[in-house]
Amino acid sequence: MISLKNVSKNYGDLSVISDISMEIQSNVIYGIIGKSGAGKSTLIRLMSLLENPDAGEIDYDGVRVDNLRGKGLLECRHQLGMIFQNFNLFFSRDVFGNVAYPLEIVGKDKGTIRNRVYELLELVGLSDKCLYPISKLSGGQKQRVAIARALANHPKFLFCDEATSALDPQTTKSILQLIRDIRNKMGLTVVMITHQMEVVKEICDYVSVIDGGKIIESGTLKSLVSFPHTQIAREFISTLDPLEEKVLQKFPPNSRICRLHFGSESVMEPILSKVIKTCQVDVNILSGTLRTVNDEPIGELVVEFMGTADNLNAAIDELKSYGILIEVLHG
Amino acid sequence: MVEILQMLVEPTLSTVYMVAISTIFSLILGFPFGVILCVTSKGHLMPMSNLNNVLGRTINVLRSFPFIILMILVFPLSRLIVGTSIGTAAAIVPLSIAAAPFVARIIESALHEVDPDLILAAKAIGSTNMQIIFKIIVPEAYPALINGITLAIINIIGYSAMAGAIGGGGLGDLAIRYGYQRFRVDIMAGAVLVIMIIVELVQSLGSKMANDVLKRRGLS
Repeated sequence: MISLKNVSKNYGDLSVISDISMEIQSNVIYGIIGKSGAGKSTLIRLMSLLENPDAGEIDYDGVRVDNLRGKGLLECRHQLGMIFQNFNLFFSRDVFGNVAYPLEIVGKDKGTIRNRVYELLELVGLSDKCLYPISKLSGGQKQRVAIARALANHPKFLFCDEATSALDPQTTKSILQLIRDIRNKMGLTVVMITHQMEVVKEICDYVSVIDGGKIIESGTLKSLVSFPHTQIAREFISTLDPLEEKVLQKFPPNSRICRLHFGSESVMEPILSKVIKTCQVDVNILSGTLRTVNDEPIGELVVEFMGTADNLNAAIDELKSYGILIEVLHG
Repeated sequence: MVEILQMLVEPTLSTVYMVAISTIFSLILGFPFGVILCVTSKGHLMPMSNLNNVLGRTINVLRSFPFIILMILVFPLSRLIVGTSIGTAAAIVPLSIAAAPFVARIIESALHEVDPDLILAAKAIGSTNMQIIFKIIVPEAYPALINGITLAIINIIGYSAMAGAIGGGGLGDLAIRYGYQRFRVDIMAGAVLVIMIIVELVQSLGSKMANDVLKRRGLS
């Protein structure tokens, strides 16, 4: 468990973190989301003992750690792992050498290092890249090496500093999957800071929203997404893709879910209302957006139509006759 | 022709010897100071602005001495260390002292090129400062270090030729005694040519070594 008690940090006159108190339970994946400049990087640097707080206290499992110096600090750092947005791998070492580094610095013998490195590379799925130079790896592979390096000394905590921000969405998912698997296998506590709600949604058990150096909202992922109390939390939630394949499966097979694309001509008309009357179908609006493109309004609605098969077909034909593009997503 | 070649052999060997030993000593002297200059700078591993300032200034002062003056100034030191102030062995003392501050600056700037994020990553997993310096910063900087040391060696070759002017031995000495004072232009040309060849060899070897490191890292 990591606990912060009234932690503050200033850079000169600038207050970056002000009076943050929070608890991160063991074995959870805890997300801290915030915009750039909100103080999230400083917060994770405080938690991972890379910086010292100006006021307050940081405890690992009930033991105060923010006041450690010298040998005690080094030993404490050996039990934490950290991964970064830009991977921060050593170019002077190959894949093996990077993963071996944390083992070397704690004085493990060669045989132990070799076995542990192979074990870790297997875990992250890079056994075949052992002797590769770092520059020859893709972004996703680099982050896998970084994860292996971070885990080498069996850390209790894994800190992820925007770990997926430099990766494409597909690779991001696979890295998040890996982090979740590792958490489950090794019983790690994971703290992730990010500005991507996608990441939080995918993997975190708990979330805190940070803004202006303060935690403005915290809770389980589900409670935060269902009932966001602050504007910033709502903004982050609005960036989530409203509709995903998995959700569509939950609707009954006899309903038909369509995505309607309204051009600038049809967007001002009460077309849906007309269709409901003439074709006798029920409509359940699932999501909708109105975008302004080149100063013209472009609409998009996701709706669920309910009614007899004939009526549904008639409704869709009628919508088409108004010049609306229809994508059938389900049914 | 054969006579000139024969005359060139011994001075060439002395120059090579003088340059090699001076390079080693200037590295021994300059390297630690280069490391200290880098890691004590603001925002680096162990920021210590006072030490950094004093060291930086001292190095600047040493570097502003013209080599020929420095040589004369360290005559007593040479006599103390090698027992004489003339000859190849004696020239090694001023050469090392003159090159050391230059080496320190070169090492400093090479080490500064290492991405601070790598240092942060090494720190986060509990490396000591010594581990960070010798296992991360120095190896990361190899290509820049090799290029810098090449530059330093070529500089020392230049100085060593100058050392010849005040009895330092080697090719510079030959060029001055025969070429300048006895009007043997052919010998002077031969000496200069050999120096040119040495410089060329050092430069290509240095570039190749730096390139090999980059290639091994998949960066070139």
